[in-house]
Amino acid sequence: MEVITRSQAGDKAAFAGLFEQYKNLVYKTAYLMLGDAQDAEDALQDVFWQVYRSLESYDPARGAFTTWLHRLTVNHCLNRQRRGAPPSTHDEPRSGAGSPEHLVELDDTVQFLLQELSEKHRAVVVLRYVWDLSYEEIAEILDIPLGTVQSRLHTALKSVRQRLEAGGA
Amino acid sequence: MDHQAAQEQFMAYLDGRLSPPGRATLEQHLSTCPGCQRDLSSLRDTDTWLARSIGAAASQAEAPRDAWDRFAVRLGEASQANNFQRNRGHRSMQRTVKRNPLMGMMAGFAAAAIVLIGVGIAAVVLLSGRQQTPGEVAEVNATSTLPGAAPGVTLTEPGTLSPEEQYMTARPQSGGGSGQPDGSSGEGLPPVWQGTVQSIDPAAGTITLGLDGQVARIMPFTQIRVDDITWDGAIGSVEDIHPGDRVQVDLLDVEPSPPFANIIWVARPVDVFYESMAYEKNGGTITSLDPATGIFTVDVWGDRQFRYDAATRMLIDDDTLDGTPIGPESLQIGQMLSFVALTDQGEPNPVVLIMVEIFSEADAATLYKGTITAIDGNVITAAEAASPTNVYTLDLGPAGSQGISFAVGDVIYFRGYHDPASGTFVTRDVIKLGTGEWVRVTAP
Repeated sequence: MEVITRSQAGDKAAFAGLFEQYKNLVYKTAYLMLGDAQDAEDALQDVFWQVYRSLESYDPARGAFTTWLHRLTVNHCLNRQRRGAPPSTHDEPRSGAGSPEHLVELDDTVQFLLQELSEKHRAVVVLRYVWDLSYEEIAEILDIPLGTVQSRLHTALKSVRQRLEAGGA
Repeated sequence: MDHQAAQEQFMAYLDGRLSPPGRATLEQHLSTCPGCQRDLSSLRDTDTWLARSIGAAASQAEAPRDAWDRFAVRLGEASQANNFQRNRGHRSMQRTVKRNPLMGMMAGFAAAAIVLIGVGIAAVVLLSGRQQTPGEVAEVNATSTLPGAAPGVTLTEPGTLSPEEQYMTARPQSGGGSGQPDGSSGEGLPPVWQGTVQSIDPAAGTITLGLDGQVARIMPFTQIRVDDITWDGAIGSVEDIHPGDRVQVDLLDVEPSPPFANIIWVARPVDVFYESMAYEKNGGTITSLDPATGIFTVDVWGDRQFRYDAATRMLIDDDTLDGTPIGPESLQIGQMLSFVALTDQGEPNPVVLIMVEIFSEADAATLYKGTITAIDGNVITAAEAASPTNVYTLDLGPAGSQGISFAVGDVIYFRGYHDPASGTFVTRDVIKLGTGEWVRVTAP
């Protein structure tokens, strides 16, 4: 994709286009992984900062850009949770965060069920059901065997089912 | 096969990934095990529920509009740090910027980002009648709020300051410093504002842009150039943009005359439908429709808006898929559409085929892209583009002989579903990339 090539060459206007084109890919995943809009916004900034600093090392021959971006995003979210980041303390919306679409909260049931899953299972579910990725793509992003993708998905579905049947959601 | 072994196969079974012998073994077990039948049914229901619920929930989550502005601030701070480092004797970073013809026009102007910011701010400096330093956020006092402006957005009156006046006023504030020899801004980031076209006044020759987080700007037609985000260097005209369009505005100096111009990159359909995105985001809902102009907008999973534009050579077909293009008069607000975007980077204009269909999001997600690897009569074997190890057998049946010329190597889009009962992939329709030929195989 030319915008990537141009960004790699240092064209910052192109990078601005890249940011706009893919910001929701990062934001949606982070939102569902972290369960908080402000944390997702922080993740969006941090992930693209990482993209900006390491874009020159991205090699299209080694995989799709979206796969790479998914990997950066998920790993960022997993690392944040593993570091035991405290719950969001953002009380006031940041500048511009008050746009109507930003105030739309995810469906409570979906968010509750996702946050009940372990982070590893949540990652598989998000990649599968938000982005409709194949098992192979999920395996590549998470760097886990294909069978592990399948087993995590199965476990996650059973967990969700139990919650739904128990009326816990 | 015992219960545990059977259940370990459920996900693969639901996704049609079991080998024929494996599938037969599992189905034999299922036929004699009500418990596993219930578990499988439960798993399938959960799978469907998750696909629908998470998809719907995710479509509501939108990155803040000012996300780039915040990021740009971070880049600016890093740029200042880099400049400081360089002044202390560190080796400066050299970048080779590959430029297309359009970007090449910018080469003559080596003024860095500060100049560009100055251009944008100078106008409001004079209007407010006070001195302002580059980079300072402007507050406009001597302006009026015009009808139709978004809350909190103040519009400047047109004609108060000529482009030349703005330019000459801004110029000294830039310091006249040159960035990189190629005219790029070096470490500085060209300001790219995001915004929405609020109105266009052909009589006055002006366009009103509501820039996110900024005062709205009224710009003369002579002050802007319009291009899409294909970066192909082909400059469009004001006629290519319409009220409601999301745009980004680069405040750039451009040669030749006028002495400077703002580049408006219009988020056109081709931006939405990069080929790689076509099979990832292929569902959307019509959110607005103007029968008079035929212009409609589609919210693509809450991600971007797509606007009908005849210039994109877009074809619309209804659910009958009979090959007869229909007009936008057949559309209704709230309709869900499925998209097949046939964009060829080698063509000057993308061909976008839109199939209008009332869709569930789960259905919309079952569009695949693949390459034909073998043909046997009316049976096509195709490898999925996203995962070439996923091989699909597409039985076109009698419809396969109705004038469609498929060949090994053809890139196709296809849609269908895995039938657990038969263990086969039931083909619904197949579209041949590049020509728009399609074949409907089974009824939905």
